[in-house]
Amino acid sequence: MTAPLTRPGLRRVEHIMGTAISLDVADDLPDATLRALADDVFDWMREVDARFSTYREDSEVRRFERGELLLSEASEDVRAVLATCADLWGATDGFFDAYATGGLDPSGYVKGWAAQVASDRLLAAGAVNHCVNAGGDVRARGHSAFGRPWRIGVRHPWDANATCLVLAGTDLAVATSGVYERGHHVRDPRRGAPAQGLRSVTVVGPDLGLADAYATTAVAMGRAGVTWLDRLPGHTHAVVTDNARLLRSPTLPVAP
Amino acid sequence: MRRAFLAITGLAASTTALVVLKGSPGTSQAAQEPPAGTPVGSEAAGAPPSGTDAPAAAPTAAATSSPWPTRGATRSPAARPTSRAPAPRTTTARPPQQPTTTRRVTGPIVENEYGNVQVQIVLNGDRIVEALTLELPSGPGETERHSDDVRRAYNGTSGEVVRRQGADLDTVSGATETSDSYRRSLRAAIERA
Amino acid sequence: MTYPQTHAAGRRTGSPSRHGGRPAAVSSPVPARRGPGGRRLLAALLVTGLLASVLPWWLDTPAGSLRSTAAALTAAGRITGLVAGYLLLVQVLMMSRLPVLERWIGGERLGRWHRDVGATVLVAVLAHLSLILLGYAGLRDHSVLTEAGVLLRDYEDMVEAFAATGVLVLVGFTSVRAIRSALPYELWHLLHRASYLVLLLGFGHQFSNGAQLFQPGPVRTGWIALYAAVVAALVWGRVVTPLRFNLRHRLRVADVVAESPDTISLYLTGERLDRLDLLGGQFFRWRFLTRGCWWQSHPFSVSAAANDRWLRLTVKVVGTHTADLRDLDPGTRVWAQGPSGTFTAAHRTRERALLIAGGSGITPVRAMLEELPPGAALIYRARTPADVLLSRELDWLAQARDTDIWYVIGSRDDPGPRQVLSPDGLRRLVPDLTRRDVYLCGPPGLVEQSLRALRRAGVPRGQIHLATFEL
Repeated sequence: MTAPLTRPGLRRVEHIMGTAISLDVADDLPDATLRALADDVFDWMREVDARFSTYREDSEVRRFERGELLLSEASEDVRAVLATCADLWGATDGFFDAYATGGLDPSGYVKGWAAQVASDRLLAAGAVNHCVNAGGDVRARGHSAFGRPWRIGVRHPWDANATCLVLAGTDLAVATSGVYERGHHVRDPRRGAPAQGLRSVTVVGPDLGLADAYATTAVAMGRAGVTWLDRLPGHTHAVVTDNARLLRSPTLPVAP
Repeated sequence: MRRAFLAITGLAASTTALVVLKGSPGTSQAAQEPPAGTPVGSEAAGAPPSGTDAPAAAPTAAATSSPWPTRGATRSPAARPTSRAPAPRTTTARPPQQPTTTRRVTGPIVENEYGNVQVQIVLNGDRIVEALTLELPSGPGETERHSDDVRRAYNGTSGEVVRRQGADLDTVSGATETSDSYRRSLRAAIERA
Repeated sequence: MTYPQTHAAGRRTGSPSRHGGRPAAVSSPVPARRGPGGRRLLAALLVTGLLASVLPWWLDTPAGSLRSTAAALTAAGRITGLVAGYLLLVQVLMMSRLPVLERWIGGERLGRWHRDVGATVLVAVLAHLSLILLGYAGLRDHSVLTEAGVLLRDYEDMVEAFAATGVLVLVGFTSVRAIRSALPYELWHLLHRASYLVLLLGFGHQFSNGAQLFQPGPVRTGWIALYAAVVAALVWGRVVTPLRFNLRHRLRVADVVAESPDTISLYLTGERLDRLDLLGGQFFRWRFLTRGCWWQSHPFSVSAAANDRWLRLTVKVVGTHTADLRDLDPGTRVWAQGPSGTFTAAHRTRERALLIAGGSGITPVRAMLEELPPGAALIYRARTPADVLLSRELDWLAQARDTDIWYVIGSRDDPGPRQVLSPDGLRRLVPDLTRRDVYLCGPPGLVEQSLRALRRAGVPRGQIHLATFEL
């Protein structure tokens, strides 16, 4: 949303999947190329929305849930996502549950996964410096338009106007799951009750889909989620508890 | 008519009661036990807050550099485009560049626990090029208290002030976009566009 | 006129009617009791609906979020808005003439509720408007006037909403009893019909600006469904049901009979009257399809219990409309809406009843007498002996159904009537007073006086039945 005086690349915001998706490509590429890249990213996001939205009656997910679509007939993406969700269910001891709300709702993984795929495609297309933010799930690669590693703030859990932590890096997937408003809206699938104990969980790792799922999982686990995150290989975390304590991995890539 | 009088009195009383009930902050926070795991910098939790002017000064200081529009900046949304020079090399349409096709649509004020959020979207044609937060959590009270706690806890390890963490960012994780009130106001603005 | 304009009339000797030389329903079975269960269920449903309509606000608003005065005002504005929106629908629903409401709650009680809820809606809407205005003005540091301008200019559907408020205020104002009685009934009725405009004009702003309603989801869908349900109830109760009734029974005027110098009885015939689901004491809203009368609809009780040959209504001539009724030709088509009313033997709570009728208020009582279990008592107040209507029928019924009847004649200040209609007087006439249902129908003065005496004599309110539309 900020626009420095001059800078290479492109920024664009669109509202897809019920949230704001912003793309920042920092590579000094020709305008037409940048535009085409951005169009590809947002077309992909819209495609994901069409397939996975739980709000659209005609999405594959809803049709599959209603039994109108066999898994074998579903698109490769849907099959892959549902398979990963099943794996996550096992890996998280049932705390990541695409059926936690009653119906099938894989959005705890899909948003991050979609941004991750978009980022992978940008990388493959030669845009090595970019940052995709899908409703607060961030995949950043390379350097920003200022030529420094991407600086990613973590939203302050009690103040939408502030951030409580700044991360920096050249290859980061950062997902934050939290209970900011409306009381508790992440459900502990095993008890069916709203999760309590953790206000906000940020997970940093190599894959944004997994980071997103792990952050959601930890919130659902409550206090126990902190130690669970601690044992998670290849990922670092920052947690704000309900009583306003900040806990984080020692190796978290905090900005200098 | 006596019943009507009773009904009206009941309406007034229950409305007041509801507002008062929702208005009083939850008291469970203080009673909670410390979380499992070691709070980073827990020894600093009881220390007097350092940098007393930080929270108050931060929003103004961040107004020019933070990507999050602050109250001061958004009070005059019309002034925003001029404070931002257009970037000649960017290809996305920006409001300052094509003012003729730019529209602003405002969503309703949506409350959340720490204040009000109102989103204004800027459209270029049918494309949303910017989403501004017009009403933001503000004022003393709960927000300050909580951020104080977080800041104190955080001071213990890094010495950084929470509010200043917002300066000079490229993007935000768990950003206001995901917040429910933001989304509701944004959605309404989009539907009106 | 505060009760169904059913003014009693006795059939005079030698009256030309040959439809029934004597009350036809002596053998009428006592109708099965209709307890207050249905009414309580509906009332509970309506109250539950009220709570449910505020629930979205409660769930949407996090605890501790209303820290400023402006936020609290806005929240109160939202609550009153939701309440007003819901109650407005209840208002319309209660006047929808939906058979289930008419049967379980009854037209008289619905009328009283309509009046009470109406006053509440008006206050809730005005509170909603001013609270939102104050709240928004506070949130944005505007003056109230500036904020009103902003609302009207920048927010969708707000012009209509303000117009709806204006109409509602007008409707509420003209419903104040003193003002209402100063207006011609038909003008008043026309103005009151404008309330439907409120429903229409106020619809949009709830969904374009209502914090709890603008986003798609179950709440919005439910709210729209509520509107749809009320409109469906209106169509069902006001169009489909009467259409079916009138197509089935095809009522016509058979005879107009003078009962006294200022009272007439209308005998109606029709088809399939044996299948009429009518209880003695109930009323219809009648529309006589002649040049001068078709556009007016008036409630009159039926003055004899159901029989398969005719319907009778007995009317005291008090205004131009009732005067026109004297000149109705046999064969005139009649459009009827009903039957409705809970002033019936079926709504008794005890085995015995005391009936208190004043003047022409005898009509529904007369019809009901045919259906009450034996052992009832009737106190009939009339100013002069000439005002006693239907006395032959009453005497006949007294004998046939073992009913005690006291005629209390005299002006209201005469010692006799005053004595009878005191707690002691009533107790003396009817010693088991407190163990009876009491049915009251008559001029407001008599009803009020009797009500006071009955309550003082220890009759529980739940055992007292009123045939008045409002009190």
